Amino acid sequence: MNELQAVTTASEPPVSRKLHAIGRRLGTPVSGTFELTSGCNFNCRMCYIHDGGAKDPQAGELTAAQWLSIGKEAADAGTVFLLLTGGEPLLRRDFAEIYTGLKKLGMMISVNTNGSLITGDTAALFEKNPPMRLNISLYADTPEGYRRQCGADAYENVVSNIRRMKAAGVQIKLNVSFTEYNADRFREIAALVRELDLHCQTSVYMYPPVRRTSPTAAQGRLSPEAAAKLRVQWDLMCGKTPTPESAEELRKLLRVSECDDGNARGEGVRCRAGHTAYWIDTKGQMMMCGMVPLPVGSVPEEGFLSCWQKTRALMQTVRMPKKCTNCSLRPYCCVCPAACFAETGDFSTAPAYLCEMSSCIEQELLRLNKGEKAIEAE
Amino acid sequence: MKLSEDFICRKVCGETLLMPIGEKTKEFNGIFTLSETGALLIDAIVKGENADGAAALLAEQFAVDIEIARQDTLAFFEQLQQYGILLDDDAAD
Ligand code: SF4
Repeated sequence: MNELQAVTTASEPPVSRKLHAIGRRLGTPVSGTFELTSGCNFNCRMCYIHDGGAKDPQAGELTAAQWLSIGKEAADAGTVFLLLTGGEPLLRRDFAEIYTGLKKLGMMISVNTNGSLITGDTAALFEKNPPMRLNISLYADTPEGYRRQCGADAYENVVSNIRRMKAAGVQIKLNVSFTEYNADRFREIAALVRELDLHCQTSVYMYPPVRRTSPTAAQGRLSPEAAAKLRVQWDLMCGKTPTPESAEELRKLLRVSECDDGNARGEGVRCRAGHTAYWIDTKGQMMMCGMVPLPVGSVPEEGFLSCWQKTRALMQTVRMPKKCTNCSLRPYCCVCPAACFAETGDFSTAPAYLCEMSSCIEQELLRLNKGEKAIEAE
Repeated sequence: MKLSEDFICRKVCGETLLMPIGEKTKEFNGIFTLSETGALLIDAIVKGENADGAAALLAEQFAVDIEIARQDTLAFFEQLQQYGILLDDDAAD
């Protein structure tokens, strides 16, 4: 039974796919992420960047003028799609200046936000001059859930802001990440998503907090087994659990599209990172991906194009673990170079967490295939 | 004829894109991609040509009959006017 028809993933506009496909051949930086601040009004224990406590934008973060100057260089180099993220980007008092300035350059802007600050002038701004998409994190389905997960009394506010933006016709995608703090409520969260009737992207895999200045373990991350069970449960609700047959098809496809050099080296970067996409952190350092803290240089100091060329050069050196290339668990696995790097500090070492999680997903699907009921996520 | 200040014309990856900026995104939150001939006509407008001048360029570059070029140009410009992308010279932005 498909209980959750409303829970779908917003599809990408065809023009974006086309530009990224051409850009991949030409080496054009079609899309980028500007990380406007690491400050946040929430204090999520599992955040990969925010250290807690720092509610305001931090010293050393780029000014609005610097972001607009980078935006101009990026537009000249071919960037069309920009994601503004944080921390919480709406905390910046100059957010409207940055946002409207970048839009005037002909950028299609998406904004990542926790949703709690879309009030007053910011709400009016989005109503009058909407982004291409607002990506709003939905952490819980109750006030208590928000306090537990985010240390913030924000539930009512977030949900009412989501409703206001939806009523104004703003495109919204909900991002739902499952952790130890909310996994037990996944059915209720799904019900809220369905009631809000919005696109939703879920994640059960949480990257280690590679970008925090004070190193900590991944707090609140589900065990590989719990993440696997929840993945299967959620997909079942959405009516999209892979069958063993479809997994076999996928395996065949992966084999024919393996890297050119056979088994001599692992696969290169398959996603857009470094091919057509880049990430610029709060201080102006360019990286191929926000989860790979290997800055290639400072955009304000060296210029956008020089940093982009270095990002491309770095991407071309990246090789995934050879073990992953022919791995039978690959159809269930969300492994990527960034996950390898974040988990092991090395692009070419398979992350034990994902191996275990993928194996558990397969077990769970085999159990389902035998007609056994999927075990509830703990 | 002039391009509305609510739109920007960009060349990216060999494609010509027309994108709304500012509050126009409330009406159309997307990107128009132009064909080769559409791109030529928009370029002509941006360079200050009128419809006749743009049609002449189209006829020359694509080796089509001037009358057909004129008809195609007018039809295209009418479409752009409907979206508010092209404005009469004396229209306020
Ligand atoms: S299960 Fe492990 S070895 Fe297999 S693809 Fe995933 S990370 Fe690589």
